[in-house]
Amino acid sequence: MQEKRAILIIFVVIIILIAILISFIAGILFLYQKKQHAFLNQLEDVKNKYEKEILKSELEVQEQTLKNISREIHDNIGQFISLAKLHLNTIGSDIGAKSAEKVEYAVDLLSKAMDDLRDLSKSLSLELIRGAGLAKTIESQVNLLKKTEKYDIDFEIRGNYNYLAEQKEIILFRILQEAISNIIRHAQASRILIVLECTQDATSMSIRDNGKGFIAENFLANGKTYRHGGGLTNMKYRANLLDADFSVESKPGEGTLIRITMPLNPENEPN
Amino acid sequence: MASLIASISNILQDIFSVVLLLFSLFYCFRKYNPVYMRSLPIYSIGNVLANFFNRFYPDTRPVVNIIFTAFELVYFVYFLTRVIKSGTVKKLVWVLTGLFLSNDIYHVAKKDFKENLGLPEVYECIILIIPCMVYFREILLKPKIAELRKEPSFWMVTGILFYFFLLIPTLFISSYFQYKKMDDVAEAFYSVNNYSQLISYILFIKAMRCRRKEPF
Repeated sequence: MQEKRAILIIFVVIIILIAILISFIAGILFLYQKKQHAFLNQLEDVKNKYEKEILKSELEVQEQTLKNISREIHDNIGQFISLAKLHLNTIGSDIGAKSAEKVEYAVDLLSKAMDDLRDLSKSLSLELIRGAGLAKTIESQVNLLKKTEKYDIDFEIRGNYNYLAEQKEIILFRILQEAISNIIRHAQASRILIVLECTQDATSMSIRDNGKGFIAENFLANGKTYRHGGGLTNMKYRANLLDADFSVESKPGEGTLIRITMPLNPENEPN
Repeated sequence: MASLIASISNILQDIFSVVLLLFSLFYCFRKYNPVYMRSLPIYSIGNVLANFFNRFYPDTRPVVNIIFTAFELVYFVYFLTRVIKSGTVKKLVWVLTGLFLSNDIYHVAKKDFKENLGLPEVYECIILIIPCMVYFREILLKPKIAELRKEPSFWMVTGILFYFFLLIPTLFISSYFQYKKMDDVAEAFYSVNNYSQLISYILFIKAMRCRRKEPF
């Protein structure tokens, strides 16, 4: 009788042991998965922060280079052109009528070159954005494009525009410049519409053109650049730096819409 | 009935130890298996030999038990120190193993082969449970293994921990029945140890069949 009880106990013990083992394995696997998930998230955060830091440094270097080029154009090349103009103007009546006409034409060309260089210097420099803010700087960029008479270009501000932190405005402006540069080089567009939309929670900027478009699905497949998407990739990187959503809508023959939506944290923005 | 349970467990253990040996010979040398898995056939051969001597030469049992316990301890300590990272625990485990082996050598030198109520096994269990727990602590603190279910060391350590964790109560309970002069029941209860060893063999086979994924 006692032996039977002992045997029964052995069976029960074996079953309990197996149950304990299965629970142990399941428990460890579950706990591990949970910990791994948290660990991977942490790893991703560190990676993102690192990438942002690198990108930020790259942009700072780039901005410094642009600033130097802008100063060089304004101070050095501009001065040479002014001097050349001055010399040409002093030639005056010492030459014949035909030559005077040529000199006048050369002075006109130099004046135009001077204007263009001044515009270029302005667009490279950050002084305007620092002084007047993003909206005014976009307006100035739009006016430059209007001067070319190649594009029917409009700029709209929807909502109440609030100044953003300077770094954010610079990055948004550089994205806009990249988008416009893409339109000029690839899109063969005749019309451009830039919209800056401001709500309490987000600021978004969209750039739409009526150009030849492309297959947007092929762009940034799996986070990698598609063939000639260097400019788009730059824009996306910059948008990442702002924690902004970046989207591209385009189809062949139907133009392109680029939109950057940046959530706002009122604590981080200037009043 | 009680002795039948013990006999069945012994036969199953013999069969499974051969199966483990075959699996280890076929699977351990696959190129995607970690290096530490390649030593498993050595353990399997030792295991089969120990079972063979216990079955066919019962007189040699005390000597075989001393030698096999020492061999088993050294093998598992070698294995566990390969998969854990803590240097302190590695040193501690090797020192404890050294003490265990010194004690064994002392008994062998004195030709003292009497079975002393499973105390060496309990000591062996304690030595091996420590690195197993450290292994689980380490993988949970730094979960770098891509997929734990495909990690051989996880199944191996689980098998080792399961077997040696259960050996302690099994030894104590069967010793209690022996003390009460219920030898059949004691033997049957000791067979729980054999069944848990079978389960650990299954876990070792599972470990050998894992296709490990690279850590990230």
